[in-house]
This record gives sequence, C-alpha cells and structure tokens, in this order.
Amino acid sequence: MKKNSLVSVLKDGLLTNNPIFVQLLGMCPTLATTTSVSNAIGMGAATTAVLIFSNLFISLLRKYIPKQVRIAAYIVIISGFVTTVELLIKAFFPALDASLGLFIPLIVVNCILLARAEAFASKNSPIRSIVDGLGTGLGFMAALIAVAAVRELLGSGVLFAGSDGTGGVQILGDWFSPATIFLMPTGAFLTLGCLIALVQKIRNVSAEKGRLDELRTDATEHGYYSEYLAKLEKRRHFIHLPDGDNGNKE
Amino acid sequence: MENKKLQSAENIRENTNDTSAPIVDEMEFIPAEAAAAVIEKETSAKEVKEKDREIEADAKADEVSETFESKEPETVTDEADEDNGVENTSPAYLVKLVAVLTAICTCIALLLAVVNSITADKIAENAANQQQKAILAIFPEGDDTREYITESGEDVFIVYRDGEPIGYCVSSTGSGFGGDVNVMVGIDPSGAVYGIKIVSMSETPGIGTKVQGESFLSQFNGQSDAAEADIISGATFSSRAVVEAVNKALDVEIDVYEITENENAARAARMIQ
Repeated sequence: MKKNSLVSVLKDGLLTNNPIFVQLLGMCPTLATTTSVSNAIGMGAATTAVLIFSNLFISLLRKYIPKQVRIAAYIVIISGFVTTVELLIKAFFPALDASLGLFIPLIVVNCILLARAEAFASKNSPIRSIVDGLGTGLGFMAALIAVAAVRELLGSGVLFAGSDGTGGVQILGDWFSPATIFLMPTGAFLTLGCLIALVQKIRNVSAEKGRLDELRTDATEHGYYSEYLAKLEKRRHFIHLPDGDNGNKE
Repeated sequence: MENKKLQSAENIRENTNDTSAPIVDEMEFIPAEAAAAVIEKETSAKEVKEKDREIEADAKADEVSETFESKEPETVTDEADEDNGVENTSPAYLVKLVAVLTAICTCIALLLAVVNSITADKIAENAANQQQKAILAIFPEGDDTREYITESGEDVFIVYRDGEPIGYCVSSTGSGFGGDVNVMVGIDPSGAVYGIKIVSMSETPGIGTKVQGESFLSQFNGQSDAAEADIISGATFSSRAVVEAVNKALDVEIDVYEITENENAARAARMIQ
C-alpha cells in the first residue's frame, strides 16, 4: 500500500503505533476501566468518538490557531466534546455511566487525544485526521478489550458481565475459583505488563525478519550470499527459521 | 612628561642590601593617555577577533542543524502561521491570540448549551427512575409512591397500596472503603426495617461487594435499631457503611398514618374550595 495512504494511516493507529501497546499512552483508563469487557467496549467507544470529532475540528481550524495558544485551544475543543459525550452517556446509557463513573470526564486528560492533536491533526487534512482518529480509537479499544478479557476471565470466570457486575457468559466452570487479584489494580499492572511484553516480542521478531529480508536482497544483488548465510546462522535461534534455507541462489 | 628610566635590577641590588625589593627589568614609563590609546587598540582588536569567531561558530551550527532537519519524516504539512521562530509581540498579534481563543471558547460553550438542553430532562428522569426501581424492589406490592419532606428536611417516599400506606423509604448514605455507599432503606409503619437495597457503591469487588448479599442485608429485617448488626469479616468498612446508613434512616421517624390523614384532609379541603 502507498506510504501515506488512508489505509496506512488506519493501520498505523490500529497496529504499528497502537496507543497503549506501542506508544504507551492513556495508561490510567487502561488500568482502571478494564475490569470487564463491557466497560472496556464502552470506554473505547467513548474515546473513539471524542478522538474523531476533536481531530476533525482541530484539523479544520489548524490554519487559524496561532502557535502560542495551540495547547489551550486543543484542550478547550477536546473538553467540549468530552462533556458532550458524557452528557449523552448520562442521558441514554445510565448503566454505563454508573460503572465508568469518573473516567468518562477524565478522557479530557487522556494523553492520546492531545498527542494525536499535536502530532497529526494540526498538520494534516481533515479527512486524514478523521481516519487517524478512527484508527487510534479502534486501536485503543482493541487493546482495552484484550486487557479486559484476561482480567475478567481470570478474575471472575465470566465474560461480558453487565455494567452492574451481574450476568455474562460463564466461560470457566465451577472448577475454577477466580483469582480476585486480577480485578484489582495489582492484576491490572500484571496483565498490562505481560501483554506489552508479548506485543514487543512480536514486533521485534517481525522487525528482525524485515532486516533479514533486506540483507538477503542486498546479498543476492551484491554477491556476498555466504556472509548472509553466516549471519543467518547466528540469528536462527532467535526467530526460529526453518532449517531448509540453503543457498541455492548462488 | 619626560621618560624616566628605572634603575636596572643590578643597580638596585648593588645600591641597597634590601633583597626584598622587586626585580624589575628595564621598563619604560608611558604617559597615561598614550597608554589608554594602546589599551584601546588592543581590546578592539580582540573584540574583532571574537566577533569573527562567533560568526564562524554560528555558521557551523547552522550547517549542523540543517543536516539534522533534513531527515524529518515526510508528512503533508501546511504553513500554520508566518512567524516561524521570530517572536511576534506586536499588539495586533496579541489581539489575534485573544480573539481566536475567545471565539473557540464561545463556540464550545454554545455546543455544550445545546447538548445540555437536549439531555438535562432525560438525566433527571433517569435519576428518579433509579430511585423508583429501588423502592419497588423493597415494596413489591406497592403501587404508588409519594414524596414527602419532613420538618427536619429529610426526603422520604411513602409507599401506598390501594390508597393505604404500607411503609416508607429513606435514601441514606454511609462512607465505605471506596467512597459513599448509597442505601435505600424500607421501613414499615411501626418503625422497623422492612427491606434494604444498595443503590450504588464502589467497594472492592469480591470482598466489599459481599455486603450486597442477601445473607448480610436480611439481618436488618424487623430491627428498629441496627446497633448489634453482624459485620462481614474482611469487609469491615463496607459493612459499617451499610450499618451507618441504616441507622441514619431509622432516625427519620414519621407516622405514615398521620401524614396520610393530614394530606387527605388537606386535599378534601382544597376540593371543597
């Protein structure tokens, strides 16, 4: 895909530059609202909505906001949309409001919004900013759901429990006595740490593969394929390449 | 002034036995103005050299920063404003800053006013619904509730069935481990607890939330004084919060029959008029 196309912007926010697992932004709501998957979905949806609108409006106004007051302007715009979302949730989704509580107005100080406003929306066209808001928001929601799934499953044995803590699909039967620590902040940190480690391992492995591919194309072009094989040997144990990679290109 | 020559060092040592005298080589005394002129020339020469060095250093720094800046990632950029790096403090610019911020704040305030007008009624309705749901859960056979404010300002809900009062509900709070515990306490006409429902709390899940359980809440039924309630071990603060709330609710003592009679009489009086 083209380097700067809309799809690449979307993929960037969703995977390559995931706000939680890669950029490590927005940790506070991640740790606090992931006690159940329904809460995570609600929080992710609210943040995505605010991200899209704030990115759009900051991008529309980017030529008129002077540099010296840009942070103040961004914060006002973001908080306006967060308050709108909060009032709408209070009116039409009271159960979600009861469970998320204080964390909906706290979306204002979620670093993700200001970071995307400063790094992307203030320098790109409205369409691209909307796509970036959507991608980053969906990435945020996906990461929240991942953490919440682990915590809810291990902490209470059910998934998709309602906002009031009841109901839900019992995944693990009666033989499983839930580890309540996963519903508490300790478990949040543990889960998040392990998931970040997993994601980094996957990224390192794929980056290593990418480097090896470069080396291979380089080597075949310039004729030092045996050196490439030697380097390959050293790294084989790291990325578990199949043993059959013989130099039949020489 | 005449030029004077100091006595040479040897002369001094020869003429005196004072070995502490400073050894001064042959020096020429220069008159003051001439000396000042020489000093000026020297310092100005130094200044020129320093300035040259500064200009060279600046040029080098520019080169270095250029090589770094050229590696910026390619994004579609637009020139946001004209003053790239130059501090623009003209009054017109400051007015522009204030005007832009004021305009943005005004627009956002308008947006919030509109959204508030749409949602305010619904939010109040939701809050009232929540209370009604709690009251209905405690008195399932009731079909009508009426709000009544006591002389001391307490808010009670009197529950009726077929026009007869069957009890009243008080909404009270106790401070628990993670914040306030909101409890709706149902009391029968004799002043004893009829039933309890926890409306909201933020206690530790799995530990403090045990106070929601029937076994803990049902111990208050029939009590007119919650002093000797059992506490759940491991959930002391949460249990105490519920006990505190129940005690506060029991302090609100009203006579439902009397109130109902008074209200019926008042209504009848109004209808006659």
